[in-house]
Amino acid sequence: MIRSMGEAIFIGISNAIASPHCSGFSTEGPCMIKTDDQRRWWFATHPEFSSHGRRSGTKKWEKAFGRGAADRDTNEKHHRPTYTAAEEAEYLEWLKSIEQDKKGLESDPHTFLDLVPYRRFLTTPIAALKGLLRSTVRDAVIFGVKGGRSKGPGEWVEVTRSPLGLQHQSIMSGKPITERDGRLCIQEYRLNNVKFDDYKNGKLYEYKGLQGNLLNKDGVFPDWCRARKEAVEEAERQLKAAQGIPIVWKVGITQVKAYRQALGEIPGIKIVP
Amino acid sequence: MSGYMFRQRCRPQGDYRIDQILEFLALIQEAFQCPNLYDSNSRVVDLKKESLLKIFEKAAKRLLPDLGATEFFYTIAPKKRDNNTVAVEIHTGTKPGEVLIDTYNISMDNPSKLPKFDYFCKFIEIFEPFEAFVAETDNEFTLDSYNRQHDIPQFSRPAIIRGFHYLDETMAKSIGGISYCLKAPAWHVEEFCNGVLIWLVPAPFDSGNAEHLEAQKEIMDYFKMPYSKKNNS
Repeated sequence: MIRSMGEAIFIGISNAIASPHCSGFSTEGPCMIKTDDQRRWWFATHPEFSSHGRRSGTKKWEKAFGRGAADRDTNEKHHRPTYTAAEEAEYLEWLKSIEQDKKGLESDPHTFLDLVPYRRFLTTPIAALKGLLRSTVRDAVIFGVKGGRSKGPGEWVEVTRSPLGLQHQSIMSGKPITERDGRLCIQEYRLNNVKFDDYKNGKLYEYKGLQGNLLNKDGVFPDWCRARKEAVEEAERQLKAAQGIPIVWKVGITQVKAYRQALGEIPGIKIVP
Repeated sequence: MSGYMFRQRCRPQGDYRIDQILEFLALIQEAFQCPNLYDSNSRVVDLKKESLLKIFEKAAKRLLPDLGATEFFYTIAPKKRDNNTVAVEIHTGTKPGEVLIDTYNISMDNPSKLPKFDYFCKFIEIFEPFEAFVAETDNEFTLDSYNRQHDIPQFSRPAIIRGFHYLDETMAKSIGGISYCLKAPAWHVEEFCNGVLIWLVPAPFDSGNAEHLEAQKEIMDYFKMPYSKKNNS
């Protein structure tokens, strides 16, 4: 039974000290601290958790039975004098709490869950290996390019753009919006004279902001809408410039249908929400 | 019932096919009973050979000439924003070897604008595409035809079977050959224009009609195409 926050912290930490594979603040599990002396020593060296480090009643009963009374066989009733009923009840409660502590501090048999904290020894090297295969890390190692952007076959250039959709593009690509002579600019990726919103992990990206007001009841561009024509022309331009590099158009979830219908005949462009 | 799109896919020839486009547009005027066709700027299109050639050459220069040119024509001026508008999307003049193909599509947002299917047969006879079909917007999205088609290199095989679907000999071969297609479980299958024409149901395909969906599932099972929607990310 845990009776105070300090005690809970103590048990959890003592478990963690005792066994590195013990996962945190559990009242059960292996522990090196088994005696009251050890417990006192621990609290003495960790004053932040308790001012005295002893459970209530310990001082009183140690005075009666001598130091280390709690660690001796608690059934040695013949050593103690006779007490009143209230004192007897208090004494028994104290003994019971000590028994519970000892029981709680005994080691459990190892289970599969004990191995869970060690999984990092397996997952970390795998993640590192995967990272090496990604173009961002590969370029960082081979070309010394820092940051999350790979240099790739093109170049980053600053272009002037209208405010419409610029914030969305900035959020998606991570490129800041700057102001030059009263005009808003952003960095875009230029490849074969065609600009893309982003280039990362070996893919060219185009980000499309929400255009819900342009869609009809079926969720596609209406036949009279020029947006479809513009999307088709842009996709064709990008396709030629990309020269086989995968192109991804990230569009709003409600626009997937519209863009897939508009670009249905253009291979090599992946439309994802 | 959602909108429809008639798509025709043709192998690139490196030629604008102006004569065929003229014939196609004239037939569209008849099918949709519109005296004029308009461009994206709501101007009336001069349906003469020289004018059309100029339009496509200009569009090709604006993009990349090898990729061909894309032009849109409308039965109602786009500035009127009329939902009865029918849009004609033409991509033509692609050089052989490029990633794109020539397409001659008609988009009908309003299902009531769907003309008689005889017109679609005439359109097929004009361009002799390798694949042509009438796609219903909802059905396309439900069966994820976009991703299915893009998983097939060079559009070399049909991704799904639609209510009205034409396949030329090569395409028919990719799913078992013309004789196999002719035995497909559909309302009507016939040899047409050196290929095969499948009419799945007697009426325009409606994804809200359980019988139509059942017929589509049956024929796709016959051609060993998975019917359920793919799990795409």
